[in-house]
Amino acid sequence: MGAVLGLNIPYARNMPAGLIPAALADTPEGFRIPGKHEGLVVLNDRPLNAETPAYLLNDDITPNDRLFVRNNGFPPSNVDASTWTLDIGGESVRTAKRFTLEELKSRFPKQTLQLQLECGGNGRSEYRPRARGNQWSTGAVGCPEWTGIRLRDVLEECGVQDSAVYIGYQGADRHASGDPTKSAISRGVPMAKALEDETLLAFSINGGEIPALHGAPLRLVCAGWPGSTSGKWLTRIDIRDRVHDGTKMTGKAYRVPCTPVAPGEAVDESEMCIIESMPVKSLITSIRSGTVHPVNEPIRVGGHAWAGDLEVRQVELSGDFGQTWSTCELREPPNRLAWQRFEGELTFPVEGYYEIWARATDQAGRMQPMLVPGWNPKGYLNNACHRVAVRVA
Amino acid sequence: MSIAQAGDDILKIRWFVVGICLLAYTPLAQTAEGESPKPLTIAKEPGSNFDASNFAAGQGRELVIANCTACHSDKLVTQNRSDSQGWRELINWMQKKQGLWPLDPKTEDAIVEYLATYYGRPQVADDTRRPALPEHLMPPISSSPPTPPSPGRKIRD
Repeated sequence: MGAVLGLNIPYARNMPAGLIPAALADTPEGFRIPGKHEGLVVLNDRPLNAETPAYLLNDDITPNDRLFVRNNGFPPSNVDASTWTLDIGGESVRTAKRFTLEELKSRFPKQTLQLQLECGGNGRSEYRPRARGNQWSTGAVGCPEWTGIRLRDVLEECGVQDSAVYIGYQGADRHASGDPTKSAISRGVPMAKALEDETLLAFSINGGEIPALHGAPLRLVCAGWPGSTSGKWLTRIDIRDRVHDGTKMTGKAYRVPCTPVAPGEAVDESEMCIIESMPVKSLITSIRSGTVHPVNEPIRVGGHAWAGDLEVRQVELSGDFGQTWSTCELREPPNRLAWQRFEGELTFPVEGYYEIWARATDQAGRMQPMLVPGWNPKGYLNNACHRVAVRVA
Repeated sequence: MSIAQAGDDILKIRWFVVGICLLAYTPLAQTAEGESPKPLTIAKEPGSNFDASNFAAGQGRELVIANCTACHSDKLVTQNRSDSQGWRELINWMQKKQGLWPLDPKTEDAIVEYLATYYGRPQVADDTRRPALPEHLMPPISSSPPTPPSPGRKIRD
């Protein structure tokens, strides 16, 4: 006990008023992350991880205060954008170069895109046997508007050799153990994803500065892939001649069994494959689960659907536990890799307990399952249809 | 930014804490054996009046706090469930990959036992292919005047 008090007192003393006691005391209620909506649910306060309840994600463009927080380590302190640099190197770069943030902003064409980010572990809480880690429910997703430059433009300025296979990023965050020789996370994507039009080096979100928690002053945005590929506090990108082998690229991190396994089955690390595009998914955001609604009065059901690298082709709703489905109105995405708005309507003629289910289908015909999909040891990729409970009275 | 600042402070004192934990091994291990559990008497700093942990009360709690919360919050533990083997594997993984210091076997056993007891695998009812919606997302039981939870509510859990 004494040891932990010894640990936490200095931590507490430097926290802003209102944050200390709730963060570390007996009740999690009231923990408020600076700059975040009070409705966010804190899953872990050290490192900080928090998700957004579905009903708070109704905006087509996710505001900063409603974007989920995922940290593997501790964000850097004393970030100075005016001296920030990005190194491009690696085995397969023609000419390694260093850019200041100002050079990146001024020398390459700016892009502004709505891009969705989802944590690979979003939905983990539903797997049985349970998968360890942060128990995300549905809220580790968001679709802000990012401004930055294409990663491709910068890589091509340095020159990409034919041997290039993958990029790997390094950030300024620090490992939770405090060991300065350990990196908190260093992941990446294959060259094809790195060179896409929508893969950005972002320095702005929703028209303003990127908040410290979200990777200021420079971060990657690799939309449609696990959020962990979108490295924050970016200091370096290596063009690798092999699959990047940084922290959380190897072992079981952000990997699923290469072939399906039974729930709870032991899987050797050599049988685990890296997650690439995220699966099709949707979220009902216009109704708060737990709502009471009048009999026979139509209820508008709106939300968002997304499908990793692909577009969503159809969204359907069911108000009778999947027996019948009605097709929603579905908007085109404002740009590739943005989530898409859907709107539908249901009427309940008899009182009782109902669940509204949403089910999206991607352009390749893959549909969200109603059960939790294939079990995997780390609990990734749960895209089971979203359920919102309604009491009709 | 305050969060980063706080993280920084943790790092500064990290090695100090490691020292504390190592010093604390012997008394803690004795406590774990169940001889006579008594609180450690490392002085609190003036002005501190909060409990740093949400861990369930029980034998081994102090050991868990001393060895686990130097790197991460109690929440990373308490939101998870596993059996003895699972918790042990996790500890060994943290030692291999995440910089957790070595634990003597008695200490490790006591930690594993505490975790498997208070954060153990749920019983059969939890082994479902799709859990019911959690309580906080549920509507009122019925529109009639509020009544104590009915048995029907329980069945869904």
